Amino acid sequence: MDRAEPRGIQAGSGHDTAERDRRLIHAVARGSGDAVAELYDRHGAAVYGLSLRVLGQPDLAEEVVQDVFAQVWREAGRYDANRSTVAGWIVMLTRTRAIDRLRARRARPDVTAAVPERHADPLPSAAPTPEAETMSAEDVRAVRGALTLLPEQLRSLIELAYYEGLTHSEIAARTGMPLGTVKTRLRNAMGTLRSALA
Amino acid sequence: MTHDDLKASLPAFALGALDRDEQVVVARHVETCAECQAELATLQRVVDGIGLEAAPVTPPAALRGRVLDRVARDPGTALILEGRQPTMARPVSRPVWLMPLAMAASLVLAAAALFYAFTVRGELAALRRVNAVMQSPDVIRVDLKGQAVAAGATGRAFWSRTQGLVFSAAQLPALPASRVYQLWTITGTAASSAGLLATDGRGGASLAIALPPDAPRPDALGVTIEPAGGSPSPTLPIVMLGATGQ
Repeated sequence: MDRAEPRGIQAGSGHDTAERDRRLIHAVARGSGDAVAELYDRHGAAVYGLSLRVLGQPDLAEEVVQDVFAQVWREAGRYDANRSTVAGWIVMLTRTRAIDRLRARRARPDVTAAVPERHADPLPSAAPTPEAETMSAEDVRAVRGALTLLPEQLRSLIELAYYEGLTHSEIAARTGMPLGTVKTRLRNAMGTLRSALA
Repeated sequence: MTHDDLKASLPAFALGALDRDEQVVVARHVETCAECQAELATLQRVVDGIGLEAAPVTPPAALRGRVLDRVARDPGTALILEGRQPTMARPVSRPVWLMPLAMAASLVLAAAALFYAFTVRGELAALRRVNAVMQSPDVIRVDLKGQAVAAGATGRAFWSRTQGLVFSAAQLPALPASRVYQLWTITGTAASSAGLLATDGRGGASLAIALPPDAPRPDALGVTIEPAGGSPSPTLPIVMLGATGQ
């Protein structure tokens, strides 16, 4: 079969890629199975990579990949280009699904403290974010760069929150740090990443 | 909680790290506060960026079929069977000679600043390197922006795998003798030191180095403050940062 190797998330690396993603998502909303297949070929490796990073188990990660693309299929019509790139949206769906499974696996009592799912339940916005404000490939590199340069103690807090879906209190319990310290450090770390955005 | 308290909670809200009670309070506030909505939109770009940072992993080949089967069986939308293999989008590489004129012009201006810096210091080898990097067909430019600890600082780098890396910065705050600026190239999640930056009396710094032949194309360049002598990996505040373009 003539199939390209799955590549990483194309976070709008260039206008052409982001534009292609948008065309594909609109085609999916109109019921095109081919468009889902192409989105999978473009983003499947990133979805699988992130799921694997969160869950650490290939079988569970594969289930998340299936869930995510089924959700893309069902909810493509709700994708809002003013809020994020297609890549950003797919990543958000992936993280939500993966953390849901992580919590289910842990059988934790606080499964209701779900990760905010902004596209499924969008916050009302008085002034929609302009298209230019969505995630660009350059943003991704900048955030990645800042994350790489963060001191380990700050980066690990971001990772506990992002990849494990832990809240402030849960991070404090996990690390033994005082709650106030967790809050301050996480805020500082996010502030550093935020300043990296152009 | 005051508006300022709530706004200060937005980074954790965007990450989903607030405990449930706080999450509800902040969500309610954001619904009616345009300022917090705008801030949250920016923070959500940061959160998206964190997720995009995870390394892609090629899934097992059989998974593609399972995903598409599941979609085909999903009652969510009526699937239009198009009866053909999907057309694959191929990456498009942009030849250097298609570089827009404006960018070419800015290369020349930036080169002039670098030439000046090295000329003042009488560094002929560095000047030759600047010249070679600028003329290299694989040159990429990275503009670095000052971060919180040095908001006014700016930097510009030119990177060529074949010819090396040249960098200049301005408006760097003076450091105590126990600290030094260090330049890093960042590829994926790995930061690699490109060297220490000695500042002149006016906060300027420049550097020209060769690269190993297998140097990966950087995703970003950053400058941090490190203990004198530099660090094997970054430890202290980020002073400036810039991501490579396409």
